[in-house]
Amino acid sequence: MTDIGIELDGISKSFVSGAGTVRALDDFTLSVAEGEFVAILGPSGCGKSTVLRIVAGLDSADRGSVTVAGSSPQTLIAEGALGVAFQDNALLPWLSVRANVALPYKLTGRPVDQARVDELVALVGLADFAGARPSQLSGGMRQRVSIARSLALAPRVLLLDEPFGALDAVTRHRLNVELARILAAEASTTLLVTHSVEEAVFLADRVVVMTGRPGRVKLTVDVPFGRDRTKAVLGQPEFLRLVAQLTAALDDDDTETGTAA
Amino acid sequence: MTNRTARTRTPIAAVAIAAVSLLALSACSSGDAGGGAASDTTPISFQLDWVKDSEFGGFFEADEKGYFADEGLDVEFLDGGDVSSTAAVIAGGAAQIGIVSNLSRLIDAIDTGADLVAVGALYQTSPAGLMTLPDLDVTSVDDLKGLRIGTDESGTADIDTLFRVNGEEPDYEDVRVGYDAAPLFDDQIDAYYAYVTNQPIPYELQGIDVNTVTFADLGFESYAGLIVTTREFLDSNRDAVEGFVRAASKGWSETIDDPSATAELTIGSYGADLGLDEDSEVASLTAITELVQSDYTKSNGLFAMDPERIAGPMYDALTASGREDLPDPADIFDTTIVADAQD
Amino acid sequence: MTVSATAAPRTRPAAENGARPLRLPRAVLPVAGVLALVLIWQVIGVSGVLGRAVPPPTAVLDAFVDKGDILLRAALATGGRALVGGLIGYLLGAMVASVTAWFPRSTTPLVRVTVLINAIPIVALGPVLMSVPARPFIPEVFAALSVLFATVLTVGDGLRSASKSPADVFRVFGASRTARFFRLELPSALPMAADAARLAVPAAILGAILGEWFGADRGLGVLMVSAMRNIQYGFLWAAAVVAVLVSVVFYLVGTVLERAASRRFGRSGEAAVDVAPLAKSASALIGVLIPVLLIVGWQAWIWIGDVPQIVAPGPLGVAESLAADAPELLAAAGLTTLSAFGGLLAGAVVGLALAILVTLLPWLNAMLSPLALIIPTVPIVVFIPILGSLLGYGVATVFASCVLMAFFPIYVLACSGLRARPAGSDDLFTIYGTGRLRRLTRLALPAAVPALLIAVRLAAANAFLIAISAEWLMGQGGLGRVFSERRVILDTNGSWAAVVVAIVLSVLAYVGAAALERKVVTRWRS
Repeated sequence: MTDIGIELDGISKSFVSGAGTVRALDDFTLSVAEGEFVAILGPSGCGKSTVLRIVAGLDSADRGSVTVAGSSPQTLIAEGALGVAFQDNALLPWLSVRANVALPYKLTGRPVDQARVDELVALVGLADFAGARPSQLSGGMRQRVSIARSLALAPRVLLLDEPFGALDAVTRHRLNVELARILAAEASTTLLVTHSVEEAVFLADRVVVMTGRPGRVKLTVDVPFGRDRTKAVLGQPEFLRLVAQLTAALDDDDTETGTAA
Repeated sequence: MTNRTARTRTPIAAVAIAAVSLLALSACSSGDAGGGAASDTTPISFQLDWVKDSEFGGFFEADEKGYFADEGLDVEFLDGGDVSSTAAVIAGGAAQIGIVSNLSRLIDAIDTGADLVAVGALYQTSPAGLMTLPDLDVTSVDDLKGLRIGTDESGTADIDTLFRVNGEEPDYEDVRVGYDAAPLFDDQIDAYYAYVTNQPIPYELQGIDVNTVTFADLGFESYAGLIVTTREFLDSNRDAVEGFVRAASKGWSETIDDPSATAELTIGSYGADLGLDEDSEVASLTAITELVQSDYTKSNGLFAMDPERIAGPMYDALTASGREDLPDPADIFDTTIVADAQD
Repeated sequence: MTVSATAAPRTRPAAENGARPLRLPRAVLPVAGVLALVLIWQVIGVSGVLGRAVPPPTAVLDAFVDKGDILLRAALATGGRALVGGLIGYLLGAMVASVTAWFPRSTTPLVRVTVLINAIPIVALGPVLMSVPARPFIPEVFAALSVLFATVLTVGDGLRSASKSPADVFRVFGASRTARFFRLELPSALPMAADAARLAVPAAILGAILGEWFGADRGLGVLMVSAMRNIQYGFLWAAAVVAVLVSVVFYLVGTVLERAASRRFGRSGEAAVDVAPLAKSASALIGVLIPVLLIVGWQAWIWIGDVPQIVAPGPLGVAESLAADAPELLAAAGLTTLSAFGGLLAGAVVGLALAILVTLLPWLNAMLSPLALIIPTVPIVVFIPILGSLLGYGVATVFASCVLMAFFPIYVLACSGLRARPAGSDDLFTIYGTGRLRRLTRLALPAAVPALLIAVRLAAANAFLIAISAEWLMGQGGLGRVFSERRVILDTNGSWAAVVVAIVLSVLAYVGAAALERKVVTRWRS
């Protein structure tokens, strides 16, 4: 893979809060190849979401450079080439499932590709609920809508911010299997932020472990499974080994993350 | 979830209890207020028909100088505000004596079955009238034909009556305005319905010339500021009512002699919480003292009511206003109180 | 190709970290806003474009200097009455709300009774109260009645908002009903109870001022009618300003309480548990029973108390008037409805438009923020005499009063509604490069719908009260005029017939608005 999907070089970011200045990221560097799926793993409060927000153009870095699909996040936004699934699903409660998935078309002023919308709704297994409103759906279903929406414009770069963070382990596993299937069909450069080791290993081509605040890259691990993963992967010794290795790397960090909010 | 009927009964019972207690409350509260006061002083609640400004100055003088006390009366002034309510307050017994603002209101109250009696009239001539610019001199109802007249709702009724008592059908444009005569100066109206003792004052004080005319000048006569009590109270407390009239008469005599002193008393004491302006109170009260006196009061005492004037022009005006089946004046005007109050 | 992130253009500044475009001290814009408003007022006053009825602030200041002591005494009197009456109404409302929490089945009937009580135009009660021993306390009674309704609803919601899981803990430990109420439901309700107290402030002051128009010896209401009749405009405005100041002071105290309660007891953030609906038949029965009981009680009061007709007529006489005057009453009802609803609509449009403008222009928002603080505290009735002097004693003033009445809650709730966007949705719109206009139409406006509906419900409940009060004061328009005209000729049957029609309309308006809100809000609940 020669083309670069996401290139973060020496990113630093501090926040000013009531208690003083918090250094969220310090000299954070990461390169994601085009079409590659990278998961960022880290303890809560380590700044992993900040990385994602900087890539999405929602926050700007104090220092360092950001290149996304060859240009700036803003260019990507202007092209509508960015897809994000948010931690808190960010569905509009007054719109139906179908209308929520079609929203990116409306927001970018494009004609709605109804066939594509229906296809995505079916892809996330909600064909029977296309006319339902978010309040009528379970938490897992809402997250699936959110993912379908992030894929609506066939983004060149897909960002997933703990998309299943609020869900129970069982649902989460099931959705991960589905997500793997969906992403196999909708290949694009993907950055996943999560605190679940299993999720990271199950979905990603490469897992990056971050240190506690200020966030830096601590460890990078390649995941040797292909993209076409099924539940079967979960039981493989290699999977379990990677999970154990990454869990240990995270645990090491405990002393450092103790200060994280 | 087990017993439906028991559950549904609860709210009904609650409502019933609420309604019954509401009922009990209101039943209690409607009981007579002025109970037994057989001591040496008779408490009198006196209902005014407006806030305590100097238009009631003579009554304040009587209180301040102890004339009420001399008659064995302990008078409490009840502020007015809603002028329509005073007759009801007296009829309901919350005040023993009160001011009913004019004759038609008294007749209307009696029409509802209220057993009221007028024992005196403060204004021999009602202050109701019109205010115009100096270039318009209204001397008869003919001068009003086709004019734009600024009124409130009682003004409309009064002006209609004014036309009819003169044998004419109302012929004017009715324009609703507020307490301020400003539309007159903006040429939105030709005449402004006013109490001549009230709205013209601020303009006169500013040196702006205006004409005023009372309805009485145009042939529509009415007493105003009627001193009213119930038949029941009058029959059982005749001396107290007579004493009230005597004391009030003394107070008003002093006000007539020196309106400024009464205005000062009002501003400084009884109406101290109203933020009244001295100049306008003195001017207003001076205008009032003109209207509380007449040839008839000079020979019969202040507040005196002339049976012939009532039965004649005043009842004519009431008939012209469309009121029917008017009560016999002798039943609702007791002219003997003022007569007996003269020492 | 690489673009330095620091040079990245047009990144939306996040609230906590983005550089503010203007590095002005926070207070500058609000202070400038107040100064600008006062300056505009001064220019209007001095130029006299709106007539003598709008004096310049300097004239109002003169009134403060000349009659400061009188204004202070009046403020203390009105404030005291509002406090006493408001507290009584509040405690009564909290008690009723507690009953509904203990016995959920009693909720429907009790709430209906309070809706009915709220629908009675309190100005119609004044003449009756003047004739009973409660007379010296009319302002307190009005204040109590004015806060009762909102308190029952808000505190009731608070009591039902206790989190499910602690409630289950109480159940598991076999806690008694009493323990659950005092140790769980009551503490959980405190933040909303404090909210209700804050909401009650302007209502109590409004009630006290209205009550003072029925014969009080001192107070801001008395000053206002007296100053209006004596054409003391500076003084009239000064009294209105003091009324607002009293309200602001109480409101701030309420805000402090609310903050403290929220901090200590936290807001569960959970919506109140929906009340189990009664069976249709029971509900219909209650719907019939309440008015029947009220009418029976009313007749009994007339008989037992031997009440003269001039004080209060019996239901039969009123029914006769209703039948005899039906065409006139219907026409009047139409006119009042037009003022109330037209005012509601116009107020909603203006309120929403201003809220949108303020949302789009942050500097304007900062400048108007003191206004947003004051607006919820303003007892609207203080404007009626001023509007009357300004617009004439006619339907225009009635309409303008209704517009103001609707404008205030709608502006305030629309402002917060336009910001109450679903979590993360702003980021979502950003990553699709959505512009301001689209963000407004696709996000902020739909998100504001529930808040707007609450505002409409609140405004609908009060629209008729204000329309009728203004009509009564102006002697113009619909039912309030009929009421006033009939009172002038002491036709109590006729005036009460107008009141009965007003009550029915007001209940219908509230019930309609509440049903609309229920229907739409379920769609919005996330």
